[in-house]
Amino acid sequence: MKRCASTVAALLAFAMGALGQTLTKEQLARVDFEQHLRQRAPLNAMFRDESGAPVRLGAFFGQRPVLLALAYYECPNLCTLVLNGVLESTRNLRLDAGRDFEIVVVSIHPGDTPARATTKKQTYTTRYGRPGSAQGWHFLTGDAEPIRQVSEAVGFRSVYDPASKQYAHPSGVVVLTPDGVISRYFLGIEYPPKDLRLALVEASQHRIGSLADRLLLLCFHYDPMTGRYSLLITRVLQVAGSGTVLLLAALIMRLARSRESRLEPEGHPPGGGSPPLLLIATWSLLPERASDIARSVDAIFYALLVVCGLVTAGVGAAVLYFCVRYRAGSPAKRPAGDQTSVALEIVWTSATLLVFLGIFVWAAVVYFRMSRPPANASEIHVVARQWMWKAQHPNGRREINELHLLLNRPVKLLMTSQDVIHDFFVPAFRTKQDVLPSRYTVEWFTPTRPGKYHLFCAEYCGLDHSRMGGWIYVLEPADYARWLAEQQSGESMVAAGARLFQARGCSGCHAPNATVRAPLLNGIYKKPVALADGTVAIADDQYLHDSILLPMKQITAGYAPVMPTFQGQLGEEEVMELIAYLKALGDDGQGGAR
Amino acid sequence: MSLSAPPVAPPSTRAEPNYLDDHSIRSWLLTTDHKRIGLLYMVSITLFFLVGGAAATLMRIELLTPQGDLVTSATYNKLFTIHGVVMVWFFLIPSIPTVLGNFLLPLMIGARDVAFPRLNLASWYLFMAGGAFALWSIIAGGVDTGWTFYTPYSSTYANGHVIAMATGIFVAGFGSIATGLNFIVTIHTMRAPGFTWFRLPLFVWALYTTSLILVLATPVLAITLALVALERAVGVGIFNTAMGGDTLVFQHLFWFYSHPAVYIMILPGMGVTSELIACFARQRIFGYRFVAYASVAIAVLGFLVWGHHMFVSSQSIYAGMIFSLLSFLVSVPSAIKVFNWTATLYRGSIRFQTPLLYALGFLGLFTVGGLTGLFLAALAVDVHLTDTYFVIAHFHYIMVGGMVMAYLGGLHFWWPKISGKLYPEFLAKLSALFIFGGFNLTFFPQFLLGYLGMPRRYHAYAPEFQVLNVLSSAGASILAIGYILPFIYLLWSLRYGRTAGPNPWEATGLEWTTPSPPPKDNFTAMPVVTEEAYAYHSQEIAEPSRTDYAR
Amino acid sequence: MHAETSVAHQFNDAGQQRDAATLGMWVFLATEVLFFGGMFLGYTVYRLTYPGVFLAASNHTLVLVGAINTAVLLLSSFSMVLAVRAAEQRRTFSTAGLLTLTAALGAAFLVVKGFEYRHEIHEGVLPGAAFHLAGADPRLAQMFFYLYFLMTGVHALHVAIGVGLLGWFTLRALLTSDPGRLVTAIDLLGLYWHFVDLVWVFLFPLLYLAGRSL
Repeated sequence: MKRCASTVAALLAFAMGALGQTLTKEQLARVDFEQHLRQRAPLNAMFRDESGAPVRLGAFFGQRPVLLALAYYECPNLCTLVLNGVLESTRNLRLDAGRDFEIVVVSIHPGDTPARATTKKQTYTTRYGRPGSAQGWHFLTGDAEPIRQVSEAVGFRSVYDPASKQYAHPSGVVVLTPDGVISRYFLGIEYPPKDLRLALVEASQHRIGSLADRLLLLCFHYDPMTGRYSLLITRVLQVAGSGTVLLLAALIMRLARSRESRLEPEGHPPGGGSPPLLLIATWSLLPERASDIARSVDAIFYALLVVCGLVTAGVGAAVLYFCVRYRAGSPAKRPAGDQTSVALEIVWTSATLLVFLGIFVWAAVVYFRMSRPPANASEIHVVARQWMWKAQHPNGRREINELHLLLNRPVKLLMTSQDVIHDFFVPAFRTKQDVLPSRYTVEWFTPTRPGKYHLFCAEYCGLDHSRMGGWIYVLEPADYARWLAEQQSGESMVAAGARLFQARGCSGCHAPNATVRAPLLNGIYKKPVALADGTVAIADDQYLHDSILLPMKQITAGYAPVMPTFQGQLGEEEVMELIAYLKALGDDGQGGAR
Repeated sequence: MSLSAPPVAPPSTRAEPNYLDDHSIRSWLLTTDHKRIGLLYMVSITLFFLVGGAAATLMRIELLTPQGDLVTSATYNKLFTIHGVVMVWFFLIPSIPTVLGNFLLPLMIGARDVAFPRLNLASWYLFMAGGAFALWSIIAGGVDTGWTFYTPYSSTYANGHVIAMATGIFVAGFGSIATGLNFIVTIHTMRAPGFTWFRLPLFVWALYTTSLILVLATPVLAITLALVALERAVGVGIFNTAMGGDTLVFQHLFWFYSHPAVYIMILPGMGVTSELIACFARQRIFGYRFVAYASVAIAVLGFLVWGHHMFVSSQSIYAGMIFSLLSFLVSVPSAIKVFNWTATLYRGSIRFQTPLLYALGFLGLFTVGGLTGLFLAALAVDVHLTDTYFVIAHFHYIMVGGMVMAYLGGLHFWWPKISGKLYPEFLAKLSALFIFGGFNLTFFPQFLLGYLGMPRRYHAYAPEFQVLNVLSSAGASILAIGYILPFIYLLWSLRYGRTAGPNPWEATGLEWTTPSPPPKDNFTAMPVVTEEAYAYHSQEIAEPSRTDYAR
Repeated sequence: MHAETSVAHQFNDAGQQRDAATLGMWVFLATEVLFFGGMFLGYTVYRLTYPGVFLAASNHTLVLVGAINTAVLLLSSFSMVLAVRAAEQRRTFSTAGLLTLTAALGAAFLVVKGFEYRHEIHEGVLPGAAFHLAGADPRLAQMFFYLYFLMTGVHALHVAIGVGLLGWFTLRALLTSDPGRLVTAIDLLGLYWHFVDLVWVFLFPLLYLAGRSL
């Protein structure tokens, strides 16, 4: 993101010069090209074509991928630069506008007329200079509403400056699939022809482009950070492997088919599995990345990959070279004498050590960050049991095998298990934490990308371990609000805890007017507690938990050890509610009632 | 090693008495001859390898489809437990030390036998008794705890024959301890005259360090498993947090053994590789002393890194940092070894015979396995990768790619010594290539699976993981062919193979100075050592016919 | 010094055989230390986690009986030292007598321990479903007695093996024609016996005395 942001900023500065700086900083800050990948363009928006005839945006879709540019036709500089960039790049393509793809320029200025559009079109089709290019370039004008729809859909945020009668706007073009789904962004004013070609081929769902392009695409991967296609070494491996897989898959399918056809004579579709070819299409070698920590973890991962790749390649190359050069009977010189070199040993030992220490420090720093939840993290309680995940939000809303989270809000999971050890693992967040019986463990993360992600149990827990999973939903604020509203959450955790405190008889002893002498619990959370054996404990979650289930473990000084254990009578979820109540209980004993 | 004693017998003397002469069953079951005990172990671990391999085969077939439709999850859980327990304790840990170690150690140091031959036989019986318990628990219905026996699952929640399985490992563990003790004493007290520590072949160094670990780590495993079994029987919660105990104590105790156990499984492989590379590059091992010290460093540091299995277990983050740092440190000596082996090839005169192919295969796979260990030692990265297929791939690269490659390489190298026969070279090379290719195809995809987030011990998995799993299963079928081939042609060679002669590879080392198969007391006269190990250089000069390379 | 026949075929001479046997015993004791170490570690962890429970529970052990047993074992170590010395001096009958005395003390230890166990099982502190101990959370107190029975039980097993070996060597000492053959073996048996004593010297304060300092 940084890189595109700086490009945009540079261009903005350029544009601002022309605008005479009449816009405020806040207004300019709104100007942005936000990437709405995989979202749909409003194909029903109505515009006017160069002749002034009404035309649906969707008319340009359906067959071919579309290169969409937003501009206005009297723009003094930036729009021209964008369009020139498109022209420059498309002129270098073997693909033809009009035959292989469409170029659609939508004016963001409601005041633009078809006449101006016609002028622009003539300029560019002439300079493009390929036969039939008139069918490939479209310059649309329209009213404010359809312009707003399109701009919003593609994330194009501009600001009108009434003083100079100009727009402050970002620069870039968008590639869409024939179905109108946004597939790629090119920000800035230069669009490398190679990248553009690959984007178009990809967006066309491989209906255009040469075989070589398609093969190339397997090895190149669009990086939204840079907006470029970059070579993926892992993808090269994937391609090499795919050949083998295809053969094997075909063989297995064939065998399975012939067996099934014998077993199930007719009409029965092969059970359950999707066809292998489809699987290959949806298969990626890079895990999704949806938390703030994921980027740091991946950075170390890739650094390690480079280091280890170099070492492996180095050793491999040396072995191969020596094997060939010093094969028995080869003419290579082999001077006699002891070869052992202490200097060399010291060099490679210390070099290895230094590199390793560097990686250690880097990974430890990130780990330290992973282990420290921020104070503002919202707390969700998770109880694991064979074989499900139960979560409870602070407002009392419960979920099973699902967890809905708000985008960009740090979340702290306070977890425990009802039976054996489990492990809360979200690959897309790159975090994992064992969940122990009768002990609280903490895991935290900040989801940074909306979507639906796997939740796995990663510590073997018995029979249905492999099915103990679910989904994490990361929602945009609006969706999150909708989800929250969907269900009337019952009583909050604090309220439930207050109810339990009465119902289970806790208040019988731990209340000011109680007959049995027991410690008062008002405001106890995080306070030091003097124990009978002379030590002092901090009344954190674990202390409160153990005091309820293992009361003999720590006995408060000055009180008789008479509290019965609630093991087997209270589930871990109920204990969590009680603790939530105790946490909320203020020094005056009133917090819980609020 | 040039020797002042005895001149090698000409290869034609076929009727010479050797250790295999007595054919009665009794003579085998009551033997105290280290060579015969080595062979007893060889047959036993081959059987266990077949059991573990069968479990692996079923698992790989099951994982062809994501739905888990070949076997039920209960069966699958038992399969991976059987695979883990049998392969770790009944194949990998005994493999090189008890088979090649038992056979070769006295031969290599110029002794007539190990220090305590009867204890040696007893250790085999302990091993077999343990194996019998393990097999009984498998036949009686199996165990589904995984080879790690994590509590409170194993102590409270698991069904199945946990106690029998734990007893099996407990008993076999004492077999390991006996072997380790025997080796340590043998190496200390029974070396031939002139055999100083720094003249020892590196395989002996490797066996020595391995034995130290066996002796010091195995009792901790024994008591830990005993505690689990008792806890299960009595219902005490010493490892059960819900009953006031602490499951992390179990994990600490378990990994205090099981991490060093990894080095039990790899150090002997490193030793074998050193022998093979020196012999077929016709060179003294580059940086001999550093390689020897590296073994010791690995053995010592290996005891201090167990906590790296517990980075996400809720142990203190500061403990995590210390264990991570030490884990990086322990990988340095391994790296040193790799560099030294590579450098040994430099200016060598390399002969591409089967054992060298295995050694080079070891070098490649161990490098990958070792380097991927860095990913797991790096704290933040381990959090993502631990308990996924990345870990599976990593330790299979070390244990199967490393140890099994080395075991097979060593078996091919010393087979002429063990049996007196040569195996068909072409088939042997072919199987080495099959194993190398099949292995990579099987386990490389698992690195990718792990990074994508597929957890281990999953009977059913998300459909997007299928392609890589199919690839892995396909590789496993190639690997299986690679393993079956040697089994066939080595047996074939016993009857039809060409006579090997005492030293078919023109190798240095005392074991090659005695006839093949060796006589019952190993040497006809006491050998005396006057030179360092791997004196290939002086050997070449002594044989003018082999100096054509020096032009 | 030693008869040629006493050297096993794999050794070159008696000196090598003695070195091997001695080193072997030390290595064996090293594994034993690690074996007990696991249990001591468990004891340490839970004693630190539940100091009150452990100290209170240790007050339920029979300290006097434990003290007597400690004295018995220490005495047996002394007689073992004398036996080793007698063997070195080739005094066959003193050797056999002292070995018998040591074995008898070891057996006495086991008998006393047996009565102690009987008493404790009668009290109901044997871990299991029937476990009960007044005024304590049974789950936690049980852990102390679990470790108590385990550690003393494994120790008693070692004593029993030692008694058996002592008996066997008494016979050998009496029957052999060459007392010199047994010197090393008796010396090593002494090592083993002292190790077993040493373990008890650690067990006694941890299990019996811990709570009585309060």
